[in-house]
Amino acid sequence: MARAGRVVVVGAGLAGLRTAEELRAAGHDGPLTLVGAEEHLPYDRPPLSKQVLTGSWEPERVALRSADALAELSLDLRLGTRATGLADDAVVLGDGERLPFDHLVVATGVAARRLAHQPRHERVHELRTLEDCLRLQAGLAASRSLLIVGGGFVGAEVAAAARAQGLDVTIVEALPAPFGRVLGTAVAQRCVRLHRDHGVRVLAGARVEELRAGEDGVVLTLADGSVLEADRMLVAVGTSVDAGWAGGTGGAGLACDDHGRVAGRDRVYAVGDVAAWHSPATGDRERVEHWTSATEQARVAARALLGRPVEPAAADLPYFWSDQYRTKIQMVGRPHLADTTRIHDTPGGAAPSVAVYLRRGRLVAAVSFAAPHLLARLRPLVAGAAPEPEVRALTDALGLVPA
Amino acid sequence: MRVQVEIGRCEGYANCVVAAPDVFSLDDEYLVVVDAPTPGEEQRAAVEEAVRSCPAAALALQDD
Ligand SMILES: Cc1cc2nc3c(=O)[nH]c(=O)nc-3n(C[C@H](O)[C@H](O)[C@H](O)COP(=O)(O)OP(=O)(O)OC[C@H]3O[C@@H](n4cnc5c(N)ncnc54)[C@H](O)[C@@H]3O)c2cc1C
Ligand code: SF4
Repeated sequence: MARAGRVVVVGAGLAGLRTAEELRAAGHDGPLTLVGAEEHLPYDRPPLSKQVLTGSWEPERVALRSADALAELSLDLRLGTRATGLADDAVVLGDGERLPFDHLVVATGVAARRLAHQPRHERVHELRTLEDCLRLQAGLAASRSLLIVGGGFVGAEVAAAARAQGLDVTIVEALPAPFGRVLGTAVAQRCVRLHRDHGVRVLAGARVEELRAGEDGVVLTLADGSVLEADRMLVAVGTSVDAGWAGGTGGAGLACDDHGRVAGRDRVYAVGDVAAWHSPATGDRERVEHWTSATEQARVAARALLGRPVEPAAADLPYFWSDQYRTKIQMVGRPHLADTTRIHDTPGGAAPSVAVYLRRGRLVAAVSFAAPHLLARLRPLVAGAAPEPEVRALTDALGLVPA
Repeated sequence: MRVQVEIGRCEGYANCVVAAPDVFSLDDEYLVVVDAPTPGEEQRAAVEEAVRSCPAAALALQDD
């Protein structure tokens, strides 16, 4: 095995922690430093819009590992420390210290995107960090109504959590349909229905013109002149990447090959939300902001860095889940590539349901509603880009009927 | 090879079912059920992926 020398991992979230673990598991017994901007031990984000927000988990449960389990990794753990610059063989930290490395892994994730002219105000929220979550939770408990700007999964999950607490909830989405960008219109309509059935007002094609916050509430003015008021507001309009310190430009993240090696650098890797890996399946580079992509990439990159054999297959198949009103929505593949979408329901027109996404007659993605076992059966077909008749044979065999 | 589950941790994410459908399923309460507690060697990659993909760290794989 090639000697990895001094390994520095920057970003102590899911991808950074998993990289450290995979490096140790694959035999790296040399120096290993984990640098994280947040003060917390590595923690998990999906519960921030689910179990922690609804109060069913104590916040401590988001910790990904106990202090003891971390100690076993023999890390030089630098929390509350931000990397601000990169030289050929050293990371520069916020306090000016230079951290020399033989190999570097960048795992700095993304931040919540802010709207232009978004006021910084106690009643205006974002959701990316544990602090964001606790602030939102306290805010919801003291409110009767919530405006959510942005119809993505984070907004949708917060809508569900807020409805469960009895708040009046309105989702405002600029696109013709919330979730449309990810799921395509037909399937997005299903999600909208799910929210409307639970009493959420969903305004699509609504462009935000002005956003104000004051002592007693928030006011949103839309391009068509209508005015919405509520006690507070969540801005959930996606994420932004800031990898400038590591040579990233624009909002594109760090361009990598299919093992996570950063283009143009020998000994620098990137994993997780910040990394735009080359996909052998599509031939393109893509940044995938999903939990399992972070863990699969951590494994592939750690092993590649150590010169160990890797099978990047699972890292190349996006997989995502979302929990809304006790309905589990799961997605595998790349719905945005599809030219045709078909929904198949359980006879009677109800969930469990699946949607299959085809491009030129081949399966590129599948989405399930309340049907993990069905998605599991479709996944190998997505991985193999199965032809339509094969997909049809499976949905028939599963007892589903076209919607 | 033996699959171990700490059922108190399971949150019903079903990621394990997606990774290794021949080994895991969910019961009516959305808790994991191990259908094949001692899976064959051909399941190793799938089970390892299931262990990795469980956000609740409820699963472990033990070699005999
Ligand atoms: C509310 C919410 C709900 C989600 N729900 C789901 C879900 O249901 N399913 C799913 O598949 N995915 C979900 N995700 C996405 C998933 O959490 C991410 O894909 C995952 O966290 C990516 O891990 P990461 O390590 O790349 O980034 P992060 O978890 O963001 O970790 C990056 C860390 O690096 C630190 N950092 C940043 N810059 C620097 C620097 N310069 N120096 C040092 N440290 C730095 C950051 O502070 C952060 O702690 C959700 C995300 C959010 C926010
Ligand atoms: S992935 Fe983990 S939490 Fe989810 S069902 Fe399986 S064991 Fe339970």
